[in-house]
Amino acid sequence: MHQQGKQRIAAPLIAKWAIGWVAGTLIIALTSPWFVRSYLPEDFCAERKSFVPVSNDYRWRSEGYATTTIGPYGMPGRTELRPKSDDVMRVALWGDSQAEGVCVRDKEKLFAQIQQSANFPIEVLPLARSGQSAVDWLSQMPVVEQELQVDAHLMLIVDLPDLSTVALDSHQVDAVQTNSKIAANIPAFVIQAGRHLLYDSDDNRRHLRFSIGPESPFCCVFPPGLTEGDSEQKDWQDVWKSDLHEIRRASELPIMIAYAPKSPSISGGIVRWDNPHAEEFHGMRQTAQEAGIAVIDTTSVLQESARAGNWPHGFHNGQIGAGHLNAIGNEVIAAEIADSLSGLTSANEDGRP
Amino acid sequence: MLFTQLEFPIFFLVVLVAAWLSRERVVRNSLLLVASYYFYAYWDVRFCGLLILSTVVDYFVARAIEANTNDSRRKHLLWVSLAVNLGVLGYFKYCDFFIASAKPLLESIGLSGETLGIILPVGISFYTFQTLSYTIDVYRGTLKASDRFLDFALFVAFFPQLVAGPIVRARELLPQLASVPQFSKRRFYGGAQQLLRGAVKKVLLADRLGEVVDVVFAGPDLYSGVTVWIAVLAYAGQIYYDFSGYSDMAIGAAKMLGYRFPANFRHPYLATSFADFWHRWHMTLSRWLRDYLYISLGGNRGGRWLTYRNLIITMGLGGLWHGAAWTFLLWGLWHGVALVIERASGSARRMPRLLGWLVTMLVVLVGWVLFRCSPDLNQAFVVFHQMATLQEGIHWYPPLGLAALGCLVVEHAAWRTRLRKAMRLPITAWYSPVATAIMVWALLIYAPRGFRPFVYFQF
Repeated sequence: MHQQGKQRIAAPLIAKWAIGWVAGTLIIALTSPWFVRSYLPEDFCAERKSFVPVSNDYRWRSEGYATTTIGPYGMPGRTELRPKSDDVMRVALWGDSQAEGVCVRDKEKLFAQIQQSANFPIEVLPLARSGQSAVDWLSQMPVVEQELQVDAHLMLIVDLPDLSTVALDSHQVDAVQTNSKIAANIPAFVIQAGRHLLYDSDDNRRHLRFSIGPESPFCCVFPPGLTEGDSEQKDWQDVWKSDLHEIRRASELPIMIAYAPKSPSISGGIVRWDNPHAEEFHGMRQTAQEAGIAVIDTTSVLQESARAGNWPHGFHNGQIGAGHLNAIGNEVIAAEIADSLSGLTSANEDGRP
Repeated sequence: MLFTQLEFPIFFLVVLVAAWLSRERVVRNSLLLVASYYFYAYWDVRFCGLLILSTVVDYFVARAIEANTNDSRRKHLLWVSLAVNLGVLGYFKYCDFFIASAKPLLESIGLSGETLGIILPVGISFYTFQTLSYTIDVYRGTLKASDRFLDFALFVAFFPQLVAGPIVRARELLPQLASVPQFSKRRFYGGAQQLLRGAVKKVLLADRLGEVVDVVFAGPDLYSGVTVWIAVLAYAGQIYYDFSGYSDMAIGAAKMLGYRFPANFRHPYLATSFADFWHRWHMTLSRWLRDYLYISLGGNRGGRWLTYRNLIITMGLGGLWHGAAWTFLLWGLWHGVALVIERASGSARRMPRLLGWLVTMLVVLVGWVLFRCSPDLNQAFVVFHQMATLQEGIHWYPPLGLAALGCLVVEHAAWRTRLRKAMRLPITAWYSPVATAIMVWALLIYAPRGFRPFVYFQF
C-alpha cells in the first residue's frame, strides 16, 4: 500500500518536472535572442571563392546589441548590390571583425559610414569577415574584381599580423563546414551552452584536470607571426616585405591599407595613448609604399576623438576604451578613408597608386 | 578545487554516490576524509601537511585538556594549541605583511627588509578558527573532546566548508559525523537547490558584477562619479553574491551528503543598524569573534568604556583576519567605530528604520571601498573623491552589471515578502522545475567567460 502510494505521488511529480523543464527550456529559447549571439551556417560563394554566411540576420550581443542583415555575397549590413555604374567608384572593404562591424547597426558600419562621408559617388562592399586575414582576402580579390567589378581594394588593419599571408590549413576549412552544419541545425542557445562547456575563454578545447596540484604554470601565447622580443630585434621592413609584395601581386587595382590600431586603449585602469606597435607600423608603411600600396594612418583621429571624450573603441556592454570599434570609431575612420579614397581615384587613373 | 570548476560536479557526483552507498560510519567517514584531502590537494598537495598538523595537535591537546583537572596545566595545553594554530596562521598569512611594514626599521638596524614571498595556503584562516574553537570549547568545558580521530580529522577537513567556510563548530558537526545520516529526499532536494542557487549567485551575478568592479577600480579617476558609484554598489553586490553563493554551495553540498551547516548570510543589505548588519553578514565569523574574542576580552561585562574597547579590538582583529594589510585593519576599525557610536548613541533604537538603513548602507559601502582597494589606500581616496564630487569622466553603464544590481535589490526586497518561501523552490510547486531549468540553462549560456576565483579564497 505504502509503495503504491509512493508511486502515485512520484509519477505526477516526475511528469510535472518533465513538463516544467520543457517550459523552462522554452522560456530560455524564446528569450535567448536578446542575449545570445546567433550562429550562422556558411555556404561556398562561387563569386567570392569563399565560405560566406547564408542567413538573413546575424545577432551580436557581447559588445553592442546590433543585429546585422546579411546581404548578397554574404555581405554584412549591405542589403542590395545594384549593377555597377561607371560614375560610381566601387571599393572592396577587407578586414577582420573590426571592419565587419557586427557590434554596430548596419548604418553605423564602416562601409556605410565611408559612403556617407565621401563627397563623391562610392559604393563600399563589406567583404570583411571576423577572423580573416590577408591570406583569405588575397584568394578572393581577383575573383571579386571580375564578378563584382570593384575599382579598388581597401584593407582595414587593426592588428598588423593580419597582413600575414601564411596559408590557411585544411583543418580550418573542415571546421567551417562542420560548424555550418551545426549552426544550420541546432538552436543558438544550445550551441552557446556547448561552446561554454567544451571551450575555455580563449576558445581552446577545455581540458579537465583531476591530478593533484600545484598546477604547472601557463605558457605565454603570442599572436601568429610574432614572438617575444620581436619589437627589439627585427627590421620591420624585412618582416613585411614578402607579405606586402604578395598582396600587391594579387591585384592590378589600387590597394589601400587603412591602419586603425586599438589606440588609445584602457587597460588595467590606465589609458595607453601611445601605440606599442608604432615602430612596426612605420616599417610596414614604408615597405607598402615601396610596393605601391597606399597607407593611411588613423591613429591621430582616433586619439583626438578619445581626448574629446568620444571613445572610438568599446561599448557599454563591453568596456569603454577597449575592444571593437564602435559607431564613433567607425565614423572618424570613415572620414579619413573617404578623404584618402578621393585622392586615390583622382591621382591614379592608370589603376596604380 | 573550486565549486564552480567543471571538475567539481564530476568529483562531487562520485563522492555522493559512494557516500550514500557506504553503510558503515567508518567507511563513510574515511571516504569523505580521503575526498576532502583530495579536494584540498587538488590546489596544492604540499599544504595538506598543515591540515594534518592542525588536526593532530588539536585532537591530542583537547584530549589532554579534558584528561587534566589542573587549571594551570589545562591553560598551558590551551596555549600550545593557540601557539601552533596562530603561529602557522601568523607565519603564512602575516609574516610578509609585518616584514613589509617594518621594512624601514629592519633596514635601519642592518637587516634585510625583503619579504619572503610566502604562499598563503587556501582556507587556512577558516580551518584554523574551526580547530581553535574546538579546543577552546573543550577547555571551557562546553564540549567533550572527541575520542574518534577519524571523525575529528573529517570535521577539520570536510571539503564543503574547508576553504571558505561557513566556520562550522565542532559541537555542530562532530555529533553528525558520529553516525551515518539517514537519507532524506527532501533534504537532498533542498541541498541540490541550494547548491544550484549558490552557483547562480556566484557565476551569473557575482562574476558579472566583478567585470564592472575590476574595470572601474583599476582606474577610478578615469570614470565619472556616477559610474564610480555604480562600481561601488556593484562591489557590494559582488562580494555578497560571491561569498553567500559559496556558502550556499557549501551548505547545499553538505546537505546532499546528509549534514547540516549553519547559515552564513541573512540578506545583510536589509540591515537597519550596524549590529544588525553583523548579525546578517558572515554570521559564522561574527559569532566566532563574539564567542572567542569579544567575550574572552571581557565582552560588555567591564562597563561602557571597556565594552567599546572590546568592540574596537574585536572588529579590528576581524578586519585583519580578512587580509594582511593595513586597509583591512582600517576596514575592521571603521566597522568597530560605527558599532561603538551606534551603541553609545542608542541610534539603533531611536533612528527611523529607513534612515537607519540608509546610514548603515552608506557606512558599509565606504567600508567596502577600503576593502576592495586593499592594500592601496590612495586608490580608496580617489574612489571617495569621485563619489563625493561626482566628477566628470567616462560614463559607463554596463547593462548586465546594472541588471545584476537589479537582482540584488529585487532579491532582498522579495525576501521580506511571502515570496521568501517560493524562492526556495519547493519540490511540489509548479514553478520549481521551470525555474530550475532556467537556472541550469542560464549557467551554461550566460556564465561570463574566464576564470574568477571566489573573493574569500584569498582570506
